[in-house]
Order: sequence, then C-alpha cells, then structure tokens
Amino acid sequence: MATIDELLLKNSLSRRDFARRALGLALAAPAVSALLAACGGDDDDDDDDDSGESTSAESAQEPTATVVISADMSGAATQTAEAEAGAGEATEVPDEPTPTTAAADGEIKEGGSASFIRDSDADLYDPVLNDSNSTIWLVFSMYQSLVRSDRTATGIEPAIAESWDISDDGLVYTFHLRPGVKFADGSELSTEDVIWSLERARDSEESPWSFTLANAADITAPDDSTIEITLSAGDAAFLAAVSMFNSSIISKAYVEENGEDILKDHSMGTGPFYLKEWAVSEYTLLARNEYYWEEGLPHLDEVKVITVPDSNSAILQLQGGEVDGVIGQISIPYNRVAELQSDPDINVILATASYNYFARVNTAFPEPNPPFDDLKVRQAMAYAIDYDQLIETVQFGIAERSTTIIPNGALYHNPNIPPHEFDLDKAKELMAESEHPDGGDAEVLISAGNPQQEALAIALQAMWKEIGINLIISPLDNAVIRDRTNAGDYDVRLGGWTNDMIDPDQILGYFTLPDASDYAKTGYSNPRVEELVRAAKTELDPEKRQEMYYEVQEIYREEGPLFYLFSIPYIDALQNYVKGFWQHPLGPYGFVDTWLDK
Amino acid sequence: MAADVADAGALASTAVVRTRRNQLLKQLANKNLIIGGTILLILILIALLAPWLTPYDPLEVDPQSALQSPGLDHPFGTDNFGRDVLTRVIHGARIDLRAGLIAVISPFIIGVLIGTIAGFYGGWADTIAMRAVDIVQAFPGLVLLIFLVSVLGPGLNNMYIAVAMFAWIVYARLIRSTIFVEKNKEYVTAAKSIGGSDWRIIGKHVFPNAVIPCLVFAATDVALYIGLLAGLSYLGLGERPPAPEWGAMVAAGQPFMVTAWWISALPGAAIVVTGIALSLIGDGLGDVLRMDDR
Amino acid sequence: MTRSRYIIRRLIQMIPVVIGITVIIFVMLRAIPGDPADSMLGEKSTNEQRALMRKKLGLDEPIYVQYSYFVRDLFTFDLGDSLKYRQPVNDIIWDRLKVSLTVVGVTAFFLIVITVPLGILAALKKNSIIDNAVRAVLTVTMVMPTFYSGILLIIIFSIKLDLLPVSGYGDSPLDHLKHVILPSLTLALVTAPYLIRILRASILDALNSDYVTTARSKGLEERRVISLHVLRNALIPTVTLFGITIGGLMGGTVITEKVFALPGAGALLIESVQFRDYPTVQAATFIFAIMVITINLIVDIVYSFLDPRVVLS
Repeated sequence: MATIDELLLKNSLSRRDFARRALGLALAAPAVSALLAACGGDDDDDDDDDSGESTSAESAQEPTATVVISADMSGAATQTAEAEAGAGEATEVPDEPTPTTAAADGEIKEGGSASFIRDSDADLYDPVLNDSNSTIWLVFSMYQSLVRSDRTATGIEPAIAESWDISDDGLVYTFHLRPGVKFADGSELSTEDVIWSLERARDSEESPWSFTLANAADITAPDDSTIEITLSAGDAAFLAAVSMFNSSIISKAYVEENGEDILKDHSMGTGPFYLKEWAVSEYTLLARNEYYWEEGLPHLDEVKVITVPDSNSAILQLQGGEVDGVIGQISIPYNRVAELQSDPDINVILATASYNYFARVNTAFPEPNPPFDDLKVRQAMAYAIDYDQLIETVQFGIAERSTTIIPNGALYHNPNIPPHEFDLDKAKELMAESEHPDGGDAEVLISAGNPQQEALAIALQAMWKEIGINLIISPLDNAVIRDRTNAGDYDVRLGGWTNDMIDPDQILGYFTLPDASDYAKTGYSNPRVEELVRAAKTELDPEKRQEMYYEVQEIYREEGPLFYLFSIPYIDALQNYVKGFWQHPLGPYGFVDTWLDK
Repeated sequence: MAADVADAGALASTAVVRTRRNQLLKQLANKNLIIGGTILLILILIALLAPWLTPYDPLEVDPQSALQSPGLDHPFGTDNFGRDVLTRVIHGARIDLRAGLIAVISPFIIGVLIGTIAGFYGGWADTIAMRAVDIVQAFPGLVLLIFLVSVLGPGLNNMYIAVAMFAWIVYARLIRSTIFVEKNKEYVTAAKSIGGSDWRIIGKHVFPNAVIPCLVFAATDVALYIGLLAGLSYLGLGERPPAPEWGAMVAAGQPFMVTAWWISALPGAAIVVTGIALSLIGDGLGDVLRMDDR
Repeated sequence: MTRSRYIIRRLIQMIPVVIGITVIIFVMLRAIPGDPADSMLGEKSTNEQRALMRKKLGLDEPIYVQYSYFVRDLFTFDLGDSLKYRQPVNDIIWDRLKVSLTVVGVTAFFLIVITVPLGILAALKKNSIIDNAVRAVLTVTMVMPTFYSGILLIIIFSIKLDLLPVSGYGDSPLDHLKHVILPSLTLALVTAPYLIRILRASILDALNSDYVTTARSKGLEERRVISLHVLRNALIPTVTLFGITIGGLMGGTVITEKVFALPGAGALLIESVQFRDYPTVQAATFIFAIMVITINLIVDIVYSFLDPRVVLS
C-alpha cells in the first residue's frame, strides 16, 4: 500500500520539503510553555513565512517561528522518520528572512495572470454566510482574520493582529492590530471594522457558523490599535475560531455604503487579492490587492478560477496547455493521478489534507437500528473491511490509512492508535457472537453522480457480503440524503470530512455531542466521551487537552459509529512553470505565493 | 349515385385489404426486417443464456484482476473492480432489452390513443389534448425524475414512469398531424359522406396510415430509452448500482475513457448494436406497412 | 378563422397551461424530501437554526398562501432572490438563458443542415449503400451518450485539430459562438437521427401516396413532384418533431452543459432542484414553459403554411 508519504517522496516532494514540514511540526515543542500567553512572531517572521513556501519539489523553504496553541507533537507522527530527523534541527529557529524559492528557481517573476480549473463553483462569497468548501477555500484569498492558522494547520500565527495576549483565566483576549493594514480599496483597517465584522459573524441568523464565536460576549476597542474580546466561558478553541473564514475582517464603510448584499458577489477585505469579477458557474476572477500588507506579495496580478465539472475535459485542458493547473478537492479523479505524474510537463502536488473519509452507521437514531445497534456487529463490519484494498481499488493508491476521527496530522490526532486490522475470520467470529449472526440488509445512501462514493459502496458491498451484511446502494441527491439522515432513515452513509477549523472541537462537537447535531444522527452516545469533549473545550492546558482528546479517540474508535476508511490528500496538478502554489490542510489555496516561471 | 360511390369505395378497400394479405408474407422477407430481427433474436438469446455464456459473475469484485485490457482471459477486459466486462455486457442484455421494451409500451399506447382522438375529432378534444401536450412538453422531465427517485428510491421504475408521462406526446403529436392530413383525403371524405361511423373510419382508413410513423418511431425509441439510461446514470438517476446495466457501465467508465477505453466503449457498443437492430426493424416495419414496393 | 385570431386564442390558451405547470412544480418541490433551509445552513446546523430559517423563508405558511405570493411576484416581475446564490432570480436566469438560447439556436441550425439533406438523400436512395450508411452512423450518434460524444468531439476538434475551445462560454459574442459550436454539434448529433428517420419515412410515405401518383401521371417533372408535393407533406411530421426537440433542448441539456462547462439554464435548473432553491426552480420552469409553448405555437403556424388544408382550429 502506498501511503501519502511514499507517494510524496516518489513523486512530488523532496526530502528537504519533508524535513521542513517536520521541522514546522517539531517547533511546537519549545513553544508549548509560552503558548497561551504567547504573542505572535514579528513581521520578519511573517514575511519569511509567506515568501513562497510550496509543496512543489523545487522549493526549499525554512520554517517560521509559529505560535502554536498545542503541544501536539503527534501530528508529526504520520510523517514517519523524517519528523524525528527534523526535530533535532528545530532548536535553531531562523530569525531572519531566509532565502526563498527564488534561490532554487532564479528570480521570482512578478505579475502575470494564472488560470486554474476546478470542478465546482462557489455559491456566494459573503464570508459569514457561505457553507461550501469551494467557496471557503477562495474566501481566504480575499479576506483575512485577526489571526490565521499556519501551513500545517497545527498552530496559530499572526495576521491582522500582529500579536495577542490572553488573560490568566483565559477569558480576555487582547489583540494588537498590525499598523498600516489596508483594504483592497486602499482604506485603512480600523478597530471599528474588526468589531463590526466579528459581531456580524457572531450574530447572523443566516450563518451556519455563528456558533464559532458564540462565546465572544463582548468585543471592544480600548484604543485605536487594540481589540479586546471577553469570553462568556473558557474556550480553548477560541483562537482557532478567530482564524476561521467567518471571522474575516470586512470593511464596514464599504458595506455601509453599498449594503450588505454587496458581499455576496464582491469582496472588501485585507487579503492578497480581491474579487474582481464573478461569472456564476463559469469563473471567479481575483485581482491583486495593491495595498496588501505583506511586502512583495502577492506575485500574480490576476488569478482566474474556472469551473469545469467534467474531469476528462479538465485534464484535456491541462494537457493541452490551456490552463495553468487543475486544483480542488475532487477535480482530478484518482485514476488519472499516475498518468499525470508521469507527464514531464506537469507537476502533481498531493497536499497534506485534513480530508478524512468515513462510513457512518446509524446505530440508534432516533431509535435502535438493528443489527447496527449491536457493537459486535459494528466491530465485525470494521474487521471485514479490507482497507488496503479499498485504497487500491477506490483511491488508486492515492490515500493513506485513517485511524481516528481526528484527521491524520491534525491537531490532537492520536498517533498511538494503529490502523484497523482486516481480519475476515475475526469478523465472522464477532458476527457469530453477536445477536444478529445472520446479518441483514443495510441501505447505504450515496451522493448521486459521485463516482468515488459509488465505487466505495460497491467495494464495501462485496466485503460486507462475506459476513452476511447485504449492502443496498441508493444514489440520492444530497438534499434527500440530508433529509433522510435528519429523520434517521438510513443505515450507512459515506462521506469525507475536511476540518473547517484547526481545533478538533468542531468535529468532535459535531459527532459526539447532542447539542447541535444530535450525535451527527448516528444515535451513538457515550457519557465518558461527552464529558471529555466538554471538558476539553474549556481546558486551557494543552497537555491535559491532548490527554482528553486521545482518550476520546480511543473510545470512539473502539465503540463508535464510524469506520475509518482512508485519509486523502488534495490533488493539484500544475504546469511545471507554476511555482509557489500550496494548499492548506484545511483546503484554502496559496495563490498569495504563486508565480509563473515563464 | 350515393350507392355507386359506396360500392366503389367498398370495392376499393376490400381490394386493398386483399392485396395487403397477399403481400404480407412477401413483405416480411424485407431485408431490413430480416437483418434487424436476426440481430435482436441473437441479443435475446444472449440475454436468456447469460449465466451459461461466461465463467464469471457480473457482480464479483476481484481487485487482483482490475483494469486488464481485452485479452484471452477477458475478451472485453476488466473494469476497475476486476469484473469481467464481457460478462457484465452479456448480463446487461437482460436488464436493458427488458427496460427498453417496458419503457416504450405505455407512452406508445397513451400517445396513439390521445393523438387519434385529438386528430380525428379536432375541436375541443384537440384543444384539451394539445394543452396537455403543452404542459408535458414544457415541463422539465428531469425534475420529475429527481422527484420520483427522491420519493420512490432509485431504480428503473422511475424511468418507466417518467417516460410514460413524457414520451407519449411524440406519438400523440405525430399521429394527430398525420390524421389531420389523412382525414381530408378523398377516401375519408367519401366514406364520411356515405355515413360511415367515426370509429369505423378511423379503424379502417385513417388509423393504419397514421400509425405507421409511430410504429417506426417506437421501434427506434426502444434503443433511445436504453441510451437514455446512460445519461440518467451519469446524473445518478439510473439503475441501482452495481447492476450490470449498459448505460450505467458507460457512465461509470467515463472517467476511464482515456486510460481504459474498454470499460465504457464496449457496453456502449452493445447499446449501438441493439440500436441498429431496432432501427432496422423500425424501417423494415415501415416498409412492410407502407407497402411501398407494391 | 384568420391567423391572427387563431394566434390570440392560442395565447389565451397558454394561461391554463402555465398555471398548470407552475402549480405542479410548486407542489412537487415541496413534496420532495429536503428543503432549502437544510441546504442553506448545511448539515452542521441545529434544528432551531433551520426552523428559524424556514420561518424566515415563509415555508411554514400554508402552501396556497405561498403560491399566492409566487403569483403576486409574477405580476410584479420580481421573482425574488435565489436561495443558493442569494441574488435576484431574474438576473441569474437571464444570464443562464442567454447561454442556453445561443446553444439552442446553433443546434437548430446544425439540425436543419444535417437533417434535410440527409433525410432526402436517404429516402430517395432508399436501401442503397448511402441510405444504410447514413442510418448506421446515425444510430451510433443517437445512442451515444453526450458525456461520451462530447469528450470525443473535444479530443478531435479542440485537442487534435486545435480549432475550437474546449469548454466555457468565452467573453465576446464571437467567442460565445465559438464556444457553443461543439456543444451544439453534440446535441445535434444526438437529436438529428430522429428527425432524419421521420423525414425519410414521411418522404417515402408521401412518394407512394395517391396525389403523388396523380401528379406523376399528370406528367409533372419528378423534381417538381418532390419539391412541391412530397417535401411539403413530408415536412409536417418533421416540423412537429423539430419543435418538440427544440423545446426539449430548452431545459434538458444539463449533461452537455456539464461536459462543456457551459453556464446554461439546464444545469441551473437541476442544481436549483438539488439545492431545493424554490424561487429559482419556480421561475426557471415558468420561463421555460412560456418559451416551449411559444415554440409549439410557431410550429402550428408553420403547419398552416405548409399545408393549407390543416385547419387552424
């Protein structure tokens, strides 16, 4: 089985990149003690950080001093031996800007326009109202929040706020704004913009994301360059929440002048680009924000993101040189990756992602759903899955094993849990011991017209047949799937999860608590898990949090309603001359550092 | 005078009927009909004998032999699950031939009935029928299909219902417009003028002529509906996976069409062969019923 | 009845048809499982949030009240905001409709160019090699799914020959035209076969009809016979079908639009249904309905020119 690491090594990542990435993770260790009271790195660090870090083979980028909110070294575990190797070097943190990709590639060529294809378009660009990955991932190019997550999605680093302090009780966050940050129209960002934006994000009734800031009881500006947020309760995930897209800082004056609706198809943020033109379902045109605060960035004048739903067509355009790249979550089918990798003109990036793929069973929602309410049956099903084979047939090797609910490499991912075994004998044994030795029918709801889910369902059907579980495959449209899920009218669902915030509070809150989602409609509740997840939310000591989250992952993996199928990288296929492009583990595109060597 | 005309008309029509009977056998020897019929017969035989024709199971997943190009073991190659494509194509004949036939029957009957009534009586009957046609035609069929799949769950039944509700308008409009032409022809006016009953006139004179284009159409439509399944599968509205339905195989093979052409192209070829057989039969039927070689 | 009176009557008859369609769509949309609040707020939202949103959208009101709002909106020519894009439905549909109309127009052109000569040729050279070849090729293009033939056309015309753009809609009018050639050709290839078949059959039929025999016996020149009598009669069913085909293309080109990444109305309709974007679906069906009915009306009027015996009733 090819792991991401192997693929990366073979195809697009140099060992140096690995060391660099591992280094970034390793830096977490010395930062631990300082982390809660930590303030951000200085400007130099940030310039350094943004000067063309890339996952492409050519770049050799040194890490930056990142403020990390966790002691979670474990994230590095998936990076195998390289991580440890890198850790040794990590004690020396380079303070000055380091040579960038320019060293390897010659001078960075400024300007120009790049075009990228992806499979689906955004639906609306208001940072507070949108809910689709295709939108969110572009919003980060137009807007910034007070802070942002680092490139490994394990730490928080300064953005609009150049530093911050946290009171000892963890209830008051004081952000010191970076001087001279300007919106794309040249107007200077003020504390008023910050307060207005965060309050709007918190109070919007139409936003699916208002819960992230629900704790921010009081947002004030003691002076012109300081924002003070008082929380109603301790919230260890608060900085992570502030780094999210819905906390984007929007120009208040712009909205007051044009009305809130303007945000649906225009942008006015402090990001490296602004939304110049949006032809719905056709393309999104980003143009350079001339007033962007990070010196020398962005390199490109324009970025055009074109929607092409059919993968054959997208790849033909890439191979024909009509576009500079194909990016996104599922724009390139897994069966085409090897072919593109062997093309000397194309650079395939398999970017580390928080993209975790599960099968979810309905154990007891709204009432017990036999035979899946029986733990033994679920365990038998888990043992009956030939995970390596799934990765080969469904993913064409483009995935690595997933082990727990928290994505590989993400904050607080428990590295001590080994991948689940495939053991058909044991599966049959467990089935025989269960209350339903004959198995039964299971209806799996898959997204209509989604080849990956269909392939997965077919493969699982063949595997579970061995233990008497007869999988009935129902392709339905997503609205029906949501509706039937909400009504508990399903047995199995397939789906990927990408984190929207770096803190695991989001995914665990969704799956293990009744509050918002009713245990993700799985019917599986566990008092110990609930207690831990609630306690971890307010626990400010990262080591204790880690302990709690590790235990949650163990229990949930052993008894829970999920089968961990695989963890998938983002696939970006670029022309060789495209330099500096990266994709964040949460998904956003690094157009800010991208330039064209042609 | 009237009696003379009536006699003449009766004589003429019996003569025609007699010639038709005599010609029928000769006409069945029509080349189109023979070739088309033979191909269809072979396809039906293949469908009936499917389980005994190849050693493989159409649903058996065998990752070890995935994506093999056509060769001795697998004449049509294997798909991404290692399933033998030939076996799946052979078993697909069972699903697709049946689906095409079932799908065509109800719209044909509904359409011919409504079209005949509307065309012959005209007036209010025609107005109502044509407004019904307008509603159906102006109604987005895919929305109905999404509705059906959402409510009834996936499967071919949705396609049958949707086709029954939509495809009849083609037959109705065709037969109506032909009847408009036919009923003004001399033989009909003659028959009418001597007081022949409406249904007798329709049945004996107008209908046989008007229904010809519909029959030709219906034969071809069977192929069309089989082809339609591919589009529906592409949108996830077709047969429930992993059934070896041809259209579903074409759709599932589309992402592989550059790298493993056989997964989609060979089931597609099966659809094409069926289509050719059916259109030959359609044309043959047209020839026979039209008796244009008389 | 004069033509103008006929047209006025037909226009009045459109009203119940349009009401019928909008009522059916309206009820059907609300009967499909899933509603817009779910889609707008996503799976991670709470029941309370969704209930609030439903209320805000007026979905908690009785269905006839909701319908009355829709009718009221129709009269004010403001069909509300799309729930997916949260922009005026009018703007969104108009943008997409422009694309679809261009595609339908070019497809109609291809259809005529392909159908008429091939249909006549196949009929006159009945059972010849030409006839058989035409029919065989057409059978292939007819059953070949557009998601397959479209990609083949892209490979041939865009990649190998580098003549036409692969996908998208382009920026200028000429560019638009270039971009819709392949999608239109794809659609024409899949729809032309029916037309050719019916044209061929009708020509054969007409050739054997009494009046042609009469015309021939009167010593009319064969070409004149064909153009005057045969074609005129044979075109009637073909025109019917042409109308149906063009009408069907209005909202039924979603796959072709997907393959060629065209921002057309078909894709909009389907994605709106899937999002349960009620206002957009309602408005789009309403507009499609009016356009299709108009095409039907035009077809019926063309009839009356082709065959004066057809009474406009």
